[in-house]
Amino acid sequence: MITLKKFGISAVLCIIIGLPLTGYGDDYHYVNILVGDRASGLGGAYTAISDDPSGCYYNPAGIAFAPHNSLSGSANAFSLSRKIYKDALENTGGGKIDWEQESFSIVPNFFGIVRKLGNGAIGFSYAVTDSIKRRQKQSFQNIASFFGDNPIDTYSININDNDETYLLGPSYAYRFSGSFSVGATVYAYYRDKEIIRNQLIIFDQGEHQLMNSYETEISWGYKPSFGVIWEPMETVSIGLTLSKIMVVTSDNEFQEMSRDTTGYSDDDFSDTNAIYFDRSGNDDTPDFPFTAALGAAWFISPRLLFSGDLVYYEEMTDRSEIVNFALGTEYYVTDSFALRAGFFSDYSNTPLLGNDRINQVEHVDIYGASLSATVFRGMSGITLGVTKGWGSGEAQIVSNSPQIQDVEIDNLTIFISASYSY
Amino acid sequence: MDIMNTKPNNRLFLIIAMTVLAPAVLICSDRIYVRSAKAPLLSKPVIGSGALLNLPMGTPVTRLTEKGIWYKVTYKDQTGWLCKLMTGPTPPTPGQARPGGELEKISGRARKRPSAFTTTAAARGLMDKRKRFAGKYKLDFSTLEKIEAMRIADDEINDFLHAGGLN
Amino acid sequence: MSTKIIYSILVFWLIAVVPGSGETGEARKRISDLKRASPNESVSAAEIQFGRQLAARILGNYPLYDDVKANRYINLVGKGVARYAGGEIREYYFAILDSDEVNAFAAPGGYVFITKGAVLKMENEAQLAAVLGHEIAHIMQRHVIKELDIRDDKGSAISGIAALIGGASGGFRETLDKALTDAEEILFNRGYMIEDEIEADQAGIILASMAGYHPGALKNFLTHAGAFEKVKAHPDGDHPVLQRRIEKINAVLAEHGLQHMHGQKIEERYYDYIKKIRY
Repeated sequence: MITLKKFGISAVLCIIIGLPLTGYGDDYHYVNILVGDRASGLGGAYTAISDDPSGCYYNPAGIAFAPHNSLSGSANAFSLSRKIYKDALENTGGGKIDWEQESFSIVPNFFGIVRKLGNGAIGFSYAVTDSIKRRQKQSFQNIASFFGDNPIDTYSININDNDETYLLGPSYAYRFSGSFSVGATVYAYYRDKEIIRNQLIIFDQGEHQLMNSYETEISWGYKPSFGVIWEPMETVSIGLTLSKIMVVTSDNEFQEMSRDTTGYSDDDFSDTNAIYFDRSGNDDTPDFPFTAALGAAWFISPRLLFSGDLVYYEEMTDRSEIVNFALGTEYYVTDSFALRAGFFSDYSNTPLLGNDRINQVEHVDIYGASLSATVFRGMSGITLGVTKGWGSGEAQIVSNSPQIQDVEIDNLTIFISASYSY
Repeated sequence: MDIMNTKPNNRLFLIIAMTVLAPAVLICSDRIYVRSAKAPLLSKPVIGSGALLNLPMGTPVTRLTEKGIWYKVTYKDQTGWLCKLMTGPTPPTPGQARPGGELEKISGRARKRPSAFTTTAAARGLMDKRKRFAGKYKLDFSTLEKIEAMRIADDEINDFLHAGGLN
Repeated sequence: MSTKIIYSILVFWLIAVVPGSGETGEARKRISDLKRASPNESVSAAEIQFGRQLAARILGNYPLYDDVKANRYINLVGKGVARYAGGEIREYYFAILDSDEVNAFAAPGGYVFITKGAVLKMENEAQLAAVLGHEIAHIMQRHVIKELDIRDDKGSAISGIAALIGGASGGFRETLDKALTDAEEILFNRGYMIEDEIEADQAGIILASMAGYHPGALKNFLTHAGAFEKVKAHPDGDHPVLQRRIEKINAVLAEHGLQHMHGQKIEERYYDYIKKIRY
């Protein structure tokens, strides 16, 4: 993560612009995108169901229970995320200004196929579990600075971030009896991240501070996922999935350029005529937590089901242990029209912010609800759904400042998907 | 985070989502349909026990439990037993007019290649079959149409059954 | 206040759900899955078309016994029993074939044929109703179609039939001809699986009994006349097959308390309608 403090611009009231946007490409949360035709409408509570191509992602053991061969694909047709940092800036009149980030994207996030094979089933799927496409140009006028007699005339921020995580791979499941199956998925993992930030501060007295940062990460790895499903009763299913992303190679590059004509920067960057440039790289591989998802589903009738998941993410360096939950229900209003609803949590894996500390990462807990409707015609089904997420928390976006801002998150996603059984 | 502190529109979203589902529980229990032309709802799971009422074809009933060849069902305010042979999980399809003459294409699945189909006797070879049976079968559609033309009104069937002391 | 509303709805939800009984068997299948297993309109139409082709072949092998009164009679009896049959077929047709064989044929789509020889072996209308009920059950339970095992990319047999009927090319015609020939083989030579025959016996007895006929009629007819259809050859011969069928019929009668049920036998009307056959 790039911060501006390295270049001494910490003397100025400015924003650390290396923050991730809520909901996508977000290292602080684990439920960034709900994937799957049916699973998305159920809030992701799918571990104990998983009897279609989405099962390759949620619980590969479930595909052994698939009633048909099938394929399905889904896309987030409209995805709007907003994060508001309350009172992030102060103008010269003493008024507070919220800093708002917004991103919009269209993401085809899942495709999968399942084919029954005797007592087992094979599957193949592709999932985009994280995606950022943020393009933002913002400009603020008359901003107070730490130098009372030299306020900021213009503070301009340009952001251009792209960060996608892809999973692609086969699955296999075997049903040992009418009520027990095991399965595994081995995904190839690929992350392509490019973060570009430009920041320009023009002071009233004519000086300026300019910083450009550029960060890329290309990582390859794999994600093995092992699942079991047990049906202790005909109408009840219990599922467990264990998984972990293992990054094998990572190519990280950083590039930063800055110029400060104010003379406010510290000794290392005090030359007002110089353009400072730094380039570095490493092959440090990021670490991901071991994940265990436990789910239960109750198939009350051919028209109505309930499902629930608890998903555990282990504690890691600088990342807290997390347990997220998801609840979902599906019912058929008619034989060929189904409605689904879900509710889920997406807790932050960062520690709570403390007072009198600086440069802390933000902590925002998110809750989400989903609704979807599917129309079936013959062997196919088409789904339209919406997911709403909301959250609040705290952040410390001003470098080297103990000030804490309240943060609000508001996400809206409209997704479409289609499935075909054969 | 406390639900109470969520914005009003989000609370409303949650309330709507959950309220929409509640009535579904009442109307979307295990529903089956009467598929036969006659379906007496019996007081007991025994052939010949008193019929509470006759359910017309297509009637949706709520299945409660089953016993042998019988379903215990409710229909409006009546609970009784319905023979499984007369029911199905989906409503009956509309009656089909009998097409005349030779084969007519019905479904739109002509895109399927013949290779997509297999039969148990595939190993015997398609051409073998044709040689063995070529010219050995005759088709008599005119007699079939004569049989199909014999229309018998429901009233006549009713009178016939009644005359025989039948149901 | 909103929280109370949400919690109230949750409690109401749970209370409404708890008394509900789940379906036994494959509980995972949603109603849309069950509907796929149950054919739609175009598939029913395809079943009828296939059955017509087969019926036309049967009539190509056996002429119709051209007695309007007798044929009308068996239609009255058959349609009376068929009223209690579920399944996809809404209209059944019955005809007497001019053959001295003791035989009966059921073609998909609702076509039932019974030979003159079989009719002559019957003693009353209840036995006719029982045999016709047995044939209706074969159609209702799609025994011929299942036996053909036409699969459309691992789909259901009936959708396989529908797809064949829908096919336009010569390849489809050949495959369809082959399927029809296989169906003829089942009816004329190879016979039904014994399990299907037993299943048809049971369902046929229930249908005829629901119509008010004497429940023991089928058993009486089998005992009197022997088997009236081709059943797959048993290594021990035909007699054990017939014996097994009668044992299963006895079990059905006992299970449903039908041994002592008085149903109509109806001899006088029977002889009145088929007297031309007899004399």
